[in-house]
Amino acid sequence: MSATVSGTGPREQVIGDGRIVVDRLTKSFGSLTAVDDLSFTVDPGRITGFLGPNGAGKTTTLRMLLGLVRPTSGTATIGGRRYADIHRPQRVVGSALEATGFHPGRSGRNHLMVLADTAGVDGRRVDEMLELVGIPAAANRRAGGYSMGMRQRLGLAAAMLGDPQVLLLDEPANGLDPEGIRWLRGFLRHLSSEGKTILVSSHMLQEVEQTVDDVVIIANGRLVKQGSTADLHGEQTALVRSSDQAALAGALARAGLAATPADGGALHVVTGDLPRIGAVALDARIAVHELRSVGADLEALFFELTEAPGNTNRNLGDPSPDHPGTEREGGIA
Amino acid sequence: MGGAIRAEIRKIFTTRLWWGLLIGLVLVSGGLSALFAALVGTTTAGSDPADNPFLHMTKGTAQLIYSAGFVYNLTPLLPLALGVILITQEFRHQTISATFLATPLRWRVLASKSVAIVVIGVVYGLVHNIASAAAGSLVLGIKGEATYLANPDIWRTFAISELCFVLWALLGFGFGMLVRNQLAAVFIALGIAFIAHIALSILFGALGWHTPPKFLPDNLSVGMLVTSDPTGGAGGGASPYFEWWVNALVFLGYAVALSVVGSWLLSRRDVS
Repeated sequence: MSATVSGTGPREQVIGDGRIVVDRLTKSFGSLTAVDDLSFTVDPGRITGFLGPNGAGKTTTLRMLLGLVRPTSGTATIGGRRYADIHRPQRVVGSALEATGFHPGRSGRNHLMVLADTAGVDGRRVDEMLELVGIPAAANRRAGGYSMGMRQRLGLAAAMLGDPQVLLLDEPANGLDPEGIRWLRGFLRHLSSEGKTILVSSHMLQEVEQTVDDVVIIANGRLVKQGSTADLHGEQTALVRSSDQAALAGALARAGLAATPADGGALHVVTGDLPRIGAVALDARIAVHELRSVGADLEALFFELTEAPGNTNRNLGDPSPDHPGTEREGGIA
Repeated sequence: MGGAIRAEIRKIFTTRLWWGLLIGLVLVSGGLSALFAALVGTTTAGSDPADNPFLHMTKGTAQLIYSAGFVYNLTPLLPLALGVILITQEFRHQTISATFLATPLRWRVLASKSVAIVVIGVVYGLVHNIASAAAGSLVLGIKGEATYLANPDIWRTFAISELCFVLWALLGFGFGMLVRNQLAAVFIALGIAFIAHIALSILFGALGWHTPPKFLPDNLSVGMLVTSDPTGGAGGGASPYFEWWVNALVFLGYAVALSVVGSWLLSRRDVS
């Protein structure tokens, strides 16, 4: 009987450095490949945004990481170990999954007490967590009456119960009102200030953009982009509209600037140096109608990456029936 | 393992299910005991001492009265439903993810749940015994009949009824793991235990088969509880049941077979 935290504190439980490694992970459900040869790492002590449109395979990846779904091939480890091999996993990895429910007839506090039994923590810790997520008053009511926001907070409290070093949060902002999202941002910042490793999935970039250090972007189960948000912000692009787009594209190419056609007959130029574009146009005697910087927007990059021909969401039906097979071809951006 | 067992026991006692079914149990077991006791000494169930176990109060009649809910095939439906619901509600309310995240070794979850079901089975058995003994002996006392409550064989019936509750609940647990859909599992389990039992009993009777009925779950549990001939020998012939411990072993075999197959399937399943 070890109902309370004894000599070995949860921190000593951390195995290795807590780095999350997803290696060539694949999961097929029948003919659908939900996660397709996915590899990425999550560095310890940072907040990583796990981004992708709905149906991209985020939840399946997290569930494989947590041993709930068996990979078709590949491995997913936390601190070098599979989740199922971690002793007292709640003390090492906290998780809040989207489809994790609550028995509607059980109070929120009792839901946590059940989890406290296996985590080896006591009722005081449960009350602390309820206080931390801001639902101590509601905790004695049955969970069936909880709002979406209260359920999310209860899920976070459950994840935090064993004071884990690693947190996996699946769409924690879903169903939160703007006030709730602001609270969540502050909450995540508070956790990261404690040096925790956090992987937070979202299909809405702006929910986490200000909070995350790194991003892993996937679409259709494949990795699209991994890097720090600073790196991504570095890839500035500009939009230019002129009297002769073809001639301007040629002139830009000769000047060493890559230009691709954008919507409405404009050009997308990969540079943040607007005066240089203006100078190239002036030299080529082309009138510039519009010239602005667009590339610093992570949101736009997110959409650009996830809506590239090969990455459009197959779950929403084939958007281009004229080109069957595009979802299989199409390189990773 | 201790933590996982405590968690499973806490799950049972933190929703209204357990005492809701328990109220039903008190009404069914107590009511039927009182009803059976009321029949003692009357010819309501026939005037031939070989056919009417209530004509004269015997030790076997007392066992019949204090297990009336089982004899009527209604009491076992409650631990059966409890066992089914305790596992299927994890799927219905999607709490199974949290359960497996807390205890990733799935066999350990299922073993802990089995232990918790044994505990609640014993609690139910205790309440059943108190309700049956109180209601039955009250009516017998009013009628001036012997209650047999001091008889060791009656106490053995009460002890074995604890085992019956545990076995029925475990049977439901195993069945629930196989079916998983809560509504379907509850209805199919109750349908098999109640309606199929009646249908098969009629069929076997018509065919003149004597051994197959002994394997029906309801007959197995009654065979454990009613070990003395209620007609006091007037009925003659062989007992319609196996020895009580054979009944227990066969029943345990059913529960274990369902649980092992269900556990094996569940241990391989994706939880999403």
